[in-house]
Amino acid sequence: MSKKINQFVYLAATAVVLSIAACGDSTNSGDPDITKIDDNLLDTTQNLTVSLKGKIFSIPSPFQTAELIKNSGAPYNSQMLNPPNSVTSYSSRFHKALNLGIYGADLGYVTMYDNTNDALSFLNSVQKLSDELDLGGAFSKEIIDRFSNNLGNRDSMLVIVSDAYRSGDEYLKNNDRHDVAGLILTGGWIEALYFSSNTLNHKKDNEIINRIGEQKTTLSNLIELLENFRNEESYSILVDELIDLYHEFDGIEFTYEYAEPVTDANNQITTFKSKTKVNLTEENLKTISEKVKAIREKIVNSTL
Amino acid sequence: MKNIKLLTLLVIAVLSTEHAFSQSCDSLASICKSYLNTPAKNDSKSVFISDGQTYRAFLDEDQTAEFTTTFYGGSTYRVAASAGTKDNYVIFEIYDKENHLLFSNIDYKNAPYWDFKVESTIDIRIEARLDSNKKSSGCTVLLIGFKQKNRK
Repeated sequence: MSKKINQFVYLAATAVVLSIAACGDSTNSGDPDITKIDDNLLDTTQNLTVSLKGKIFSIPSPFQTAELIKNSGAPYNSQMLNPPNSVTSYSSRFHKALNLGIYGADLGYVTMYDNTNDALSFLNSVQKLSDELDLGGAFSKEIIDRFSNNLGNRDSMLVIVSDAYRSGDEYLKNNDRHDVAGLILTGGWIEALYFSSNTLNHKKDNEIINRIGEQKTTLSNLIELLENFRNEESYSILVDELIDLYHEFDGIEFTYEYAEPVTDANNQITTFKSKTKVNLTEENLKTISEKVKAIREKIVNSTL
Repeated sequence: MKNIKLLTLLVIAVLSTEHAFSQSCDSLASICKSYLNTPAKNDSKSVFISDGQTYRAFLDEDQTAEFTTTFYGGSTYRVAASAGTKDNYVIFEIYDKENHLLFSNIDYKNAPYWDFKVESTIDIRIEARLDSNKKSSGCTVLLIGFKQKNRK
């Protein structure tokens, strides 16, 4: 009797295995028997539902800010970048991840300015940190070779680097390491904001000033993302620093005027014609710049 | 002994399902990437650069994934979505912060990607769901790219 029960349990468990494995994906393409996934089964596997139960966060690419600075006519400024050889000083996972974001933004900046020698130095630092953090080979030898073979071709270099970061982001999310993914995004965002404020010290540019003011939503997203990991002290300190920075954005005036978008269906493009105005005072700008510089220094010096 | 066997089977079940899900999402990301790599119809030399993130969710037919982001003025973006081998499984819609519907790919046969020229910086909300007439559940992946301006 006992043996029969054992066999039954074993068969039942096998059936569960097969049924779960069979219903990973369900298509309705003409099949009358639509296979619906049982929610209870889904709930047994955290990875399946984490993106749904959690919130999805989006942070604009730091490469876009580097592009804006380049197009403003500001000269190349290597002094504002984190020296590539500092990479050996980062020992904790927390600082490695933040500085991987910083170096990614730096790599985007030097690539925008076609500085190929510096690009290779920053790429080496990026590769070292991504290996140490195990980003699933996002910056493999093959990627480094592809980048090296395309030196001088800015488009290709930017595509290769951004794809590698995307691949690393995907690997981290697949492995439920959302904290590391969040820190990399934070480092890249801080560095891009630092580029903007630093550039204004040498060249006043309204587009760059507006770009600084336009970071409020992104900063809010970052804070919300990192709040999930507050139980670790270093994350908690970082979140508090970002919240303190966010208060400065409260003083900025925004006006938004909706206008109907225009679509060109033949070319698959829609133009958003709504207008947003940002009104930053000198005081707003000064305080934000000082706070961004302070946070960024703590990140690159591992004192956060 | 029986408990060990049972536990082993359940662990295999969980791991194999996670692995299958991960692989399924991986292949969808590759499809989405191919959409980003397709030049714009009105600019055959255009290049879209990924924002460095992969947005993914496992969706049932009554579920919607949504997130907010900022599109910068003076830029052109591409939003690409995939939930399988056919290119019309995903419906995506874009709203402004006042909840005006700015775009829905339903109007264009669930086009898997679309470009957006942005005159002035705008905070938007992107919502993605499966077209229940075509697919009832599965991994959904969405990528965002921006167009390089001054090409060399």
